[in-house]
Parts: sequence; C-alpha cells; structure tokens
Amino acid sequence: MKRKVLFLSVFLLAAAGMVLPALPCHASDGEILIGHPACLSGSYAKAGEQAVGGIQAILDWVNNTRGGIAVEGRKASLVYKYYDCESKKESVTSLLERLITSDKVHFTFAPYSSGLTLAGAPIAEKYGMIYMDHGGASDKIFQQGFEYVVQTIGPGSLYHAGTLEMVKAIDPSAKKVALAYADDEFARSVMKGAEERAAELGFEIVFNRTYPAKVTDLTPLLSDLKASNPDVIIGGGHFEDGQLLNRQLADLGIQPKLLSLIAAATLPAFGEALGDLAEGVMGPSHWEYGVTFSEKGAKKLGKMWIGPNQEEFVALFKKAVGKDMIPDYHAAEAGAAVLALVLAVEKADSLDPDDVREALGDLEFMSFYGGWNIDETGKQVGHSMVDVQWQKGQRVIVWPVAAQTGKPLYPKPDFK
Amino acid sequence: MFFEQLSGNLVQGLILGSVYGMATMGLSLIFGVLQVVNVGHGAFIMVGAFTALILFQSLGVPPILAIPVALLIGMCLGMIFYYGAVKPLVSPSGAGIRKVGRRQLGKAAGVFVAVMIAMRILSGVLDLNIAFSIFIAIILMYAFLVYVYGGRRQEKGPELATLLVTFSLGVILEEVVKQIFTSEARGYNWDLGKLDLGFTVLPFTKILASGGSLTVAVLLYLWFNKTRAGMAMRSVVEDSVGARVCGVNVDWQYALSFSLGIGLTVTSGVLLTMFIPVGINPYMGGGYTLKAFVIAVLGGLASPYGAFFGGVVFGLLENGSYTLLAALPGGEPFALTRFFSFVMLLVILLIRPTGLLRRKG
Amino acid sequence: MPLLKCEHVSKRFGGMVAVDDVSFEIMSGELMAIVGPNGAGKTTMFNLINGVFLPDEGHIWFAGVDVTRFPSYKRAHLGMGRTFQIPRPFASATVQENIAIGAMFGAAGGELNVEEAMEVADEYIDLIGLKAHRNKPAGGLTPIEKKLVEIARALAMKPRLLLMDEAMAGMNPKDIDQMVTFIRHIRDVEGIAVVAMVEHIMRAVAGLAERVMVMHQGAKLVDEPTREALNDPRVIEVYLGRQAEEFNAKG
Repeated sequence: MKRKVLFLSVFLLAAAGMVLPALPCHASDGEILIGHPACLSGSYAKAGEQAVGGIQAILDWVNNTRGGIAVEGRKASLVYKYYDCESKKESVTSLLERLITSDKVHFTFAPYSSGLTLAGAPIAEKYGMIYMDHGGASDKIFQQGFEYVVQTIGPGSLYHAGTLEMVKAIDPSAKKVALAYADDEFARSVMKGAEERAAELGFEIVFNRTYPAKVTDLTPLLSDLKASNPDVIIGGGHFEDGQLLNRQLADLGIQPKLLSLIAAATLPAFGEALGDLAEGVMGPSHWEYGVTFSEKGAKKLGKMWIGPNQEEFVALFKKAVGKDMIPDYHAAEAGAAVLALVLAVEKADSLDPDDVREALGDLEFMSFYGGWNIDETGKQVGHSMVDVQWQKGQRVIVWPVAAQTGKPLYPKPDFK
Repeated sequence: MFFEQLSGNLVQGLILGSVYGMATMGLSLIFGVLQVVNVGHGAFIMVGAFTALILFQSLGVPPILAIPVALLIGMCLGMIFYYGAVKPLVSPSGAGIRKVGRRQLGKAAGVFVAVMIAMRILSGVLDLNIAFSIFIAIILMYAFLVYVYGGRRQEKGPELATLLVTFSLGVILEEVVKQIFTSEARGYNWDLGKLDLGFTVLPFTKILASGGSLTVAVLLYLWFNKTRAGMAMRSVVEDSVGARVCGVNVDWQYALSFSLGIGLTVTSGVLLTMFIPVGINPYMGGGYTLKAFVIAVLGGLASPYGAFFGGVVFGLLENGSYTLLAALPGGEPFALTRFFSFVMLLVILLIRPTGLLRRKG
Repeated sequence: MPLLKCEHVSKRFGGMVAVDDVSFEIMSGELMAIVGPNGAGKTTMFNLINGVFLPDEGHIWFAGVDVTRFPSYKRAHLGMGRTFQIPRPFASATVQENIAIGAMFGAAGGELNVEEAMEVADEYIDLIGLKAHRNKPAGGLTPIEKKLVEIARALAMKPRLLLMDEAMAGMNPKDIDQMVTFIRHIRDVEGIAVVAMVEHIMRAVAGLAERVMVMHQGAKLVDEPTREALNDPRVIEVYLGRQAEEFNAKG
C-alpha cells in the first residue's frame, strides 16, 4: 500500500512536470504574445539557443528601455512564449498548433533552419498568423504563395554574391569553382544562387555534388573533388558537416585558393575545433560582432533607426542567456525580427494580422543588424551579407570593402 | 582514373570500416548476452568522443592514451546503468519469487519516459541550474522506484521496456553532456602527418584509429578464448541455461557483459575522433546508431567478431560504391550510395539470413 | 546425512500443478531413477532440484545446505551436475572448450585458468573416447557424441550429484548396455550419486538403479528399491497392462 502511494505521487509529479508548461497562458490586456517553437535540443540546438537569447534581449529592450509598444491607445508589453521543438518537423507543427490555438499568441516566430521554417509555415497560414522567419534562408519558402511569412534573414540565393565578386576582383585568373554541399533546403538554395552568380561572373563549375546532411565521412566525395582541381571551393551545410568538410579537405591534402563554408565557418566554435586548419577559411555571414551599423549611419542613408546599438545588444544578450557569451548572427537576426514586428504593430496601430502584414510590407528600417526591407512575397531584400575570414584565430570581416575590418588573405594558406 | 579513384576509396573504406566495426562490437555483445537492444548506442559513442576531446584539450593527452580511460569510464557507466535501470527488466538467474506483473513493469517504464519528456520541457523553460537539480532528483527517485518494484521476478519484462529504458539512458546522457558542455560543435587537432599513397592520402591518425580498432578486436578475441570470464561470457551467449547449470554466475555475467559492451562503445568514440576529430557535440550519436544497427545485423547480431567484420564490409561497400555510382551519368552518387549499401545488405541477408559470420561467441 | 533432500516440494504453472507435495532423499553414491508416464512431472522435478525453477512450496537441501532459493549456478558450485534430454553442449565451442567450461565453473574449478582447464578437459575426452573430435565445434557432432560431450562436461565439474535426464533416449540396446556400464563406473570409481530419469527403457532401470521413485500426476507414488517397485501392483497399474508384462518378463 505504501509502495502504491509512493509510485502514484512520483507519477503525478512527473505528469505535473509535463503539464505545467502546457497550461495555456492567456495574455492580459496590455500584453502582446509572441509564440516560438525553438530548437533547444537536437541538431540546431546551438542556433536555437542563440535565437531565443536574441529575442529575449530585444524583448528586454522593448519592454524596459523603450517603454513598450504604443497600440490602440495603450502601451503594451511583449511576452515571449517558447517550447523546444527538438529540431524535429513533427514537433514544430504540433507546437505551433498549441501556441496558436491554446496559448493564443498574437504573432509566431519560425524555428531555426529552412527545413523547419517550411514545415511550420502552412500551420501559420492556416490560422492567418504572421510567421516571422528569422533562420530560414531558402528562397523556396517564398515561392509557395504564403501570405504571412516575413523574412528577416537574407535569402540563400544571395549568400555568395559577395564571395565570387571578391575572387574576381582579387584574382581574375581563378576560374574553376567546386560546389560540395549538404542535401537540404538551405544549402541547395545557397548553392543554386552561387551557381547562377558564378555563371554571371564568368566562372566555370568543375564539380557540383551533394552529400546527405547527417554524413559521417566525406572522403569518397572529396577524392572525386580533388581530381577536378578547383581554385575555389564553396560548400557546407550547417555545423558538424562544415567542420567535417574542412577537416577532410585537409586530410586529403586538397589546397584551394579560397574555401568558403556556409553556417559553420562563421561560428566561434569552428576556429576552436579546427585550430590552424581554419586559417584563411571564409564564410558568408548575416551579422558579425564588429559590423558598423549605427543610428548616425542610418540617418546619413535617410533610413529609420530602431533598437539598441551593437554594444547594448551584446550586453542585453549576455543578460538574457545568463553567461558571458557573444551573440552570433542567429541571435541578431531573431532580435531584428522582433524590431520589425514592433515597428509594424505601431504603424498599423492594431494587432490584426492583415493590418500588421500590410505594415510590414511597407516597412523599411535599419538597426544594429543592418538594413531591413521585404518584397511582396515576404522575402528579405534590404539586408546585405558580409564575408568573414579566419585570420590568426579571429574572424575578420573582409568583404565588402565598405564593411571591412581587415584585408582578405588570398590565396588561402595551405593546410599543413 | 577510375581505378585510381576506386582503389583510393576502397582503402579509405577499409580503414573507416574497421572503426565502424569496432563501434558496433559493444552493441552485438549486449544483444548476444542480454537480448537487449541498446537504442541509446550512439550516445555512448558520443561520451567517448567527448572523453578524447576533453583529455586532449585540457591535459594534452594524445587520444591513444585516452583509450584505456574511455574503457574505464564506459565500464563504470555500464555498471551503474545496468544495476540502476536494466537489471530489473531482465532476469539473469531466471528464477524469482515474487511475480511482479507486466503491468507494473510497463508503468515503471512509462514513468521513466514521462520523466524524460518533463526534463526536456523543464530544461527549456527554467533556469539551467534548477532544471539540473530537479533532473538529478528525478533520476534518484527513479532508481529508488526501480528497486522498490524491481528485484527478483519470474518473467522478463516486456521487450518494449528495455527499448524505452536504453533510449531514455541515451537521452539522459545527451542532456547531461549538453548542460555541461553546451551544444556547440567542437573538435581538436592532433596532427601526425600523412601517408601519401599517390592514389589517395591517409593521415597517420586515421591509420592509428584503424590499427587501434583491430587491436581491440584481437584483444577481445583473446579475452573470449583465453580468460575465464571471457569463456563464461561465450557460454552465456550460446546457451544461458546450459551455462547456468555448469556453474557460470549468470547474474554477474549479465552485469559484466553490459558493462563491457558499454565500455567498448565508449572506447570506439575515442577511435572515431581519431578518424574525425571535428563536429563533436552532444547529439552526434544519432548518425552512428542506425549505421551500427545495420552493421550488427550484417555481422549476425550476437557476434562481436561478426560486427567487426560487418563494419569492414559496410565501409568498403559505402565507399567503393561511390566511385561506381559516380560513373553513372547524371546521378548524385552520395544519395545513391546509401541506397546501394542497403540493397547490398538485403542481398546479403537473403543469401545468409544469419549474417555474414556464423555465430561464434 | 542425505546428499539431497526434498521436502514437500510443490510447483504450479498458472492453474496446473506440475509437482505435488513430493518428498524424498538421495544418499551419497546412490543410483536412483525417477520414472513415471508422460506428464508425471519428472522433468519439472529435475528442474526444481537443479534450480532452473524455484518451488512454490517446500524445501530442498543439498549437502546439508538449504538451496531452495539458490540459482542454478550456486547449486552447481556445491556439486550438482546436469545433462539434458536433448543434449545441448555449447555448439560453437570445441569439444575441448565445452568440457573445460565445466571444469572451470563446477564444484572444483575455482582456481583453474583456461589453459589448465583445457588440460583437464583432455583427460575427460579420453574417458569418453572422442579424441578424434577434440577440436571440432560441438554443434557438428552426432546426437550420441553430443550426449557424451555433455556428460563429460558435467563430470569435469566434479559433481557429487549428477542429474541425467533421459540419458538413454534414442539409443539402441547395445549402446544402452554400454551407457549403463559407464554410469556404474562413474558411481563406483568417482563416488558420484547419479539420479537418472528414464521412462520407457526398463532394461536400463532394472540394470542400473538401486532405487526407483515413481511419479504420477505430479505426486510421488512409490519410492522403494527397484526389485520391489517392479513388482508393486500400484506401479503396474499406472503403466498400461502390456508394459506390466514387460516388467515381469524382464524381472
């Protein structure tokens, strides 16, 4: 009998633990609810953690520094509700349903990655909910006819616009380009854009192959790549595979003049993991600590400015995550998405999704993250990428020239 | 050109396969003795990878020396998990007094799963430290619960329970490692130079990894054939009732096998990082679990040697097929590689349903 | 003091009573047979003595120790050896390895390493005359050869009590006589008590056992010296008439 009681009480405790976070949180008057199925575990955990921190940092700024949002004659504060989607599609859709129907959020944010963003979009569309895309770069998202998806991150097709321009400018004799990338939404859209750009600029694509996203060994593919003798290698996917690609290029003694890897190469962990092998490796980035966007600069360009400056953002981010961690672009783009929402709600002076969506369409502004402007499909066209390069263990912005914090290192030093 | 590529890939495949094979030996051993499928297999490989990473980064210990450390850690972990979670669900001596019904066992497993789900949600919502302490508290409560309900029983628990338990153990490991080390993808750089064979390049670390795997397989063979405990383990795999009546302490053998199996798996994580020293993160295990299952089936499920051999075959198939498939016009070789490997697996199983090697303990 | 003592032992499977309040003793060095028709509970009784099952009621003492709750391997350490009706040596292990395992983990083997155990195994291989098959996997042998391997494996354990389940099954009369001689030899030379369980082969029972326990529907029917049992009307009644004549004829 005693055992039964013990058993039942533990069971109830565990059940309570499951249920409590799910109790619907109805917003009181004066609160605007943002819902987010974030990736806090699984393959995208790192990016998800950054995004959540970025959103919380900007929320802090909006509620405490800015004084809230002026809408419908009152000052409202932002409330943030998020769940762990475990980097899984099924979880994204079910969590979005819960956020919209049970938690009754006013606006939704997409999970990190193009694949997961796409997975959740139809749910948001079904309910006529605004769906802020902060981590999904694939152009495909905006070819589906969705009306409520609004992008803050720059689209994949523009990732390598700068990289190839840079090569052409520095070394016109480097003509051969190899593409080796992950078979997922994001990488495909980036490489398609790179292919088109390469053709425009007169490069020759000598190798173009994909690999499965969860690959554990790239040796056969890279042996093949070696035989095509490229000058420029562009590729990658997300995080582990980017590190793997770099490492195994070194293992096989492949020495390109330029190596650019999406996503992985822009993270601090990359330099730590690869040490000397990261020297000279580049990656396109949406935002780096060190970019020089400011209120003054915005005024000069005649653009509206909102939000904290870079230093303030970094401080708020550290406060939000509770440790001394520098935000990366995942955090910045998520935070910028919140800023866009704030401006649009005030402009529309309403919480109605259609009004806000219209306001977002007309919106153009600048923030610590850079420019922001969407086209009629919701795709981001106002934001430009920068290329960073690892030099002596530090990430340096090397392109475009206007945003440089250091000169590009070309050709890439040989792997030892 | 074609043959150069093919030979290069086959050599690489041979080396990679030996490491894959070694990574599967623990899985086969645990299944052979306990009939438990360790669904959390990949998470233990991850623990080994982190062991090598931390020892190298903090203490400058070369991965070769991390191997015995990993084995020790793995065996301790295995013992803790065996006595804490697995033992109540298997019945080593086959003899029990109290008849605890399947329903209670199902409930216990269900509580465990519920607790795991709660943990995930909590860690997302609450402050990290609070979540962690509740985490530990729940584990302790579970262990206590298991001993209240567990112990000697007449029949084995439902097979589903062991799947759930090993899955949950894997999840616990991932989450604990994530709390301590964050989900960052890490790596280390241990450079020993390369061997240039002309048609392909082999870093010495990869050669060492392969050699290490082979050494472990040989040591395991010696263990199974030249030591008392090893012979006893073989007999339990072969016929557990027969072993019992011969005087083999089956209770201890179960614990030892599980612990050794986990130890081997953790060790394989170290060898794997010698091969691929980057991308080390708490969730890296997933990619390897499926591969390990395929290799285990290929090698005959209960035989560790079969697993090793199966791994080599798998590595050869995966890599060798790339060149063959790349020769086909217009295809994406890598996508086809996987398909091809699985087709070959099916063909082999049709010809030899029990796997490549006859079952030898 | 009896070597083995069973007291009021019962075992149920679900609603069925397999062994019903059975009590008996075996002295050191005795040759005893447990017989009875199909379904009498003989196999279950063996499994209870051996520890493969645990009884629901009753006690079992072996060499003065209460082994009622002991798992099989503990009973093996105290000196119980067992062979099975359908021989099941370790199939992928060689004949030598099979016997070595018995040697290492049985009553006497605590200190033996593998090499030493293999040497000991050789002695038993000579005893059963399978030298030619020493290094062959036991799985490839004929059923009779497998049986011999199992017996050697059990003997290598240096048991004080050897439980032989249907040891004569599937043998021709000449082989049966040889086995009978062999078992007598084991008892006479090694001093091992042998409890054999044979059902139909009265030739063996008559020639081998000094005492017979007849079981019927899970309960003990009689427990007396062989000569008396063969003529006991209760025993004859339990077996069908034709066999009763066989009893008397061979008498």
